[in-house]
Amino acid sequence: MPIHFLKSVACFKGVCTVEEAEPLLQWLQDQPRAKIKLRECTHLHTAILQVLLVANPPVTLPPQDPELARWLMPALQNDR
Amino acid sequence: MKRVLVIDDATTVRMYYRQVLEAQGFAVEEAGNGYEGLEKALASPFDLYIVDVNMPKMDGYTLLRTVRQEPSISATPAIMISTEGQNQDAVAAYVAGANLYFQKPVRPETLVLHVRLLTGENPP
Amino acid sequence: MSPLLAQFIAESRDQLELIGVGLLAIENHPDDLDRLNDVFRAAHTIKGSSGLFEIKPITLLVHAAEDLLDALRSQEVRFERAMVDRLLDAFDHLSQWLDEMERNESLPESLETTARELGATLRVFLQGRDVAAPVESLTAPVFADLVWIGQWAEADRAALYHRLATSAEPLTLFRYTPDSQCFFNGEDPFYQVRQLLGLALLDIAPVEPWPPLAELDAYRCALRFTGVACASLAELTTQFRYVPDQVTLLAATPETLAVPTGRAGETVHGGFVAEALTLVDQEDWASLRGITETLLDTYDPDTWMASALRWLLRMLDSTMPDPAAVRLLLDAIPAQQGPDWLQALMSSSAPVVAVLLQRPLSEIEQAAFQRVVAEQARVLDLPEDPATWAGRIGSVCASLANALRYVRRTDLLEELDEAEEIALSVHTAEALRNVLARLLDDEQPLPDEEAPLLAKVEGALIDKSALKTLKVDQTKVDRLMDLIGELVVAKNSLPYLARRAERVYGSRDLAREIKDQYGVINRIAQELQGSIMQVRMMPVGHVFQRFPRLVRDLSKKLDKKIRLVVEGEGTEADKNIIETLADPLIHILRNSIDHGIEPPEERLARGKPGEGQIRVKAYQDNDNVAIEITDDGRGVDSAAVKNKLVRRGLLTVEQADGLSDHEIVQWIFAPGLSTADQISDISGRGVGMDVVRTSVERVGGSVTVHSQRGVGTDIRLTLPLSMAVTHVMAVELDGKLIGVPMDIVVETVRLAPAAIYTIKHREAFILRDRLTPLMRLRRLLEMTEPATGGAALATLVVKIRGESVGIVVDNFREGMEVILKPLDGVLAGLKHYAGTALLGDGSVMLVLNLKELL
Repeated sequence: MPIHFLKSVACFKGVCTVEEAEPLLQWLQDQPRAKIKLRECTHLHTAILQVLLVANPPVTLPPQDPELARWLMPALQNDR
Repeated sequence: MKRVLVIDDATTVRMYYRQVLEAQGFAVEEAGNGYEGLEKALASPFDLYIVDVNMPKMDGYTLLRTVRQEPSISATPAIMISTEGQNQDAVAAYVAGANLYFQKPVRPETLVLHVRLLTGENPP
Repeated sequence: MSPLLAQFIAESRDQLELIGVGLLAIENHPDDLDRLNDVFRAAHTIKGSSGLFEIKPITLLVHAAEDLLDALRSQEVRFERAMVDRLLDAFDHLSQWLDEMERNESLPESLETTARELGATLRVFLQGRDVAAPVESLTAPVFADLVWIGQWAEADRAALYHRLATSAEPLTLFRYTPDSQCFFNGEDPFYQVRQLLGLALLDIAPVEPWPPLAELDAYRCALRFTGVACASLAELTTQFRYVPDQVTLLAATPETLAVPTGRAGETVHGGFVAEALTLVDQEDWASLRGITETLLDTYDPDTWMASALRWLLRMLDSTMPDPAAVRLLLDAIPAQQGPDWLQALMSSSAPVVAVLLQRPLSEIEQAAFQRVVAEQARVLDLPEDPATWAGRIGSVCASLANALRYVRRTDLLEELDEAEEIALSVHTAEALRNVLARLLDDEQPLPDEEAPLLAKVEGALIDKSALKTLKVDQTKVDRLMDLIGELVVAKNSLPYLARRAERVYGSRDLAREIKDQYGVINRIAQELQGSIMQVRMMPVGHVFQRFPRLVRDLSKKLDKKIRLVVEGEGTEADKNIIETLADPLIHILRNSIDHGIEPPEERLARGKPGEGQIRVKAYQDNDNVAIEITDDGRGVDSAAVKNKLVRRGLLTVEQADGLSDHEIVQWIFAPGLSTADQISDISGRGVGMDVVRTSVERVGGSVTVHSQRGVGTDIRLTLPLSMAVTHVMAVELDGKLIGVPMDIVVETVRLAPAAIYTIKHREAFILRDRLTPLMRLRRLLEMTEPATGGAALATLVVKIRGESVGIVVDNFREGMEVILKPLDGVLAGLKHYAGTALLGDGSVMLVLNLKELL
């Protein structure tokens, strides 16, 4: 499972697929102070992207993949 | 310069075709209904007709059927463009005498490309 | 505001007025069908035009109203007073929205919900009627404006603008609004966007305001991707080909990025714009730059004005600023708003479709052409109507002819003309359909740019098979080829049968009939053979593919600079021939690189460019395919070749001296002759060009070389287009038939013994004033020679490597087509024979390889 849920931190790894959108949404709904780490993430499915955009949790570590970071990070920081 | 006759009752739509086609070097004439279209078609030769379906006085189907029976203009290619997108709409257009059918709205590049194909007008 | 939008608003207001009056009239006279029609048509007009803009609320609402009006006029629903109330209410909203459009040039997206709600109140009346779900527009709407480009930071856009100014890459704008259910189709729009070619700017935004987190549906896609990519419109169209209805694309110019942003409302220095425009007219860019820089200093960098001036400077940085673009930007300054680059794109003659129309034909053009052809096929398949028949045929042919001209296939116009004539005179479109089927077969249809109606066509209306290309296992084609070969041979038995009928059974009539039948079968067999041959044809480029790498690697290894030019890679020949070519060509190429092209220093010293050139050119030459490999290297050293020939005892000194340089050079194809001073590991260990000649001649080809010392070498391979069937001339020898390949036979003569000269134990005769060597086949094959007395000698004149030679045989027989089977097993070493052929009477004939024999 490429998303590991710790107490208040979710770590994304590799390619995060559509199946993980719902668990992530659940987790974020239960964890108002959640943070996420995207460091090792190489791609996340549109459904996950959408969940992140709505929940807008702080990203403590942006993706190392420069191309993913380039497109993703501006969107995630938009609403702050 | 290839001449295109646009027959549509919506002024906006005619203006749109005119803008797009004139920018690409076509000469565009307009008619606001089928009857007026037929008069213009008979008055001078065109390389292509672009015809709407639903129009006052004479609709596009009647216009095309009449054109196809009028020896002096019967071989002029025609594109029919209407708001409906079902297969039967294309068939009705072809039965009436169209050579291509599009659903509105048509993207400018798509329109220009197909107008060029049907008029044999090669880009410079 | 764009004139088009202004026109739309004005026209729609007129229509709304008509609708208002009409609806009130209908309220009092519900049976007034004319009135109903007028109102319906007015609504229809608004709907049709609204599709040209990004104003979904209006389109949605009018669509619902139109449906109700349509149901009313076709009397599918009964009139109710409440209908008029709701319709008036809907059109009132519409009127307000038009005012809103006039103020802001756009509508808030939230109105879409309002439109749906209002639409629902109208659709209530349609319940009970079978309403088809509204068809979503198949084509994406165009962009209403391009001001949204200003959402990206000016620095990012400036960097992109700068990059485009130097690279001349194409630029395409896109907006991709994935279907809300797309996740269920396994789509990942974000992934697709990340894969876009040349993605330069990207914005990810919700299509409507987000719901609270607790109400979010994770599986409903509500995002929209907007961006700019350094790719052509065609490239993006291809990338989005599976979701064409969800994408808006526009080919744009770099200037499109020049959208000034920032705090507006600064005072504008009055004279600036006027002065600047004058300078633009004079194309005095330096002065314009000067006044712009000066003015820029007076503004706070955060202001709209500063941003506009910075963009102006960027445009002026170009070596050739575009006056029209500069003017448009200047025109925007007084209002501190705009400019509307969309207007510029639509009205300038270059951009919008320029990308589509570049040479050679793009995939989109090919697809559009295929579509035009396919739709004409559809038209022809419609039930006939005598009244419009001539017009239908005429317009179909005119459309096709024009489309052919567009795609530059004018070679087919004549055929089309004939088919049209047939269709008009005998009232059948069969010939025309055949032409269409050929055009459809010709090119494989590509996924259409907008998966149009064509994709939905029901089976009956179009012959789908005409669109398909078949992939067949090669062994099946080979098997077919073998069978045709057998048919050709079997057919050869008919002349024997005819002869037997005449000689044995004395029936001349039967013999003639058999011969007639033979003629028919012969023609069919030949056509069959021709068709299957076509299937096996493939472009020689298949072999050429490996060359660039070879040249690159070898020249690097040898420290030479070599440019490879390949021409005519589309030339076609039989697959087997092509495959035979690969090794010889590579051998020749290696030789050119290794021995032909000199090292750069040597070339420069000789006054040649340091970079050598090797040109590989293929072309069709009658029934042959010719391939020339030309280099501009040092050429063949004919003196060295001559030396070696003598040293190896292949020629005597006198023989060698008697040969011209050109003749000497041909000897490089002789076995075991390598002219290179040392054996390098590149051209192989002493394997000379003889390998090339052997493999080329094995498939019935020939090879010649022209070389000039210091200037270069030109090697030319000539190969038959196909090798399936060999034409041979049969001759009699010792009571048996022997075949001689027809392609080398020049003529047959009967030679009186007195006409034969003997020169130094060699025989010769005079053929058209030329002394021609004469050989006796019996002697060559070491057979005994019976005395022939004074009878004329049957002599076959053949041409071998450019030389005529007479060959005495016992008698001539007919020419025939045979399937040549190479000798195999222990016989494979018999180089004097090219192979065996099965004859019509079941006997086996040996076919000579005269090139080896002489």
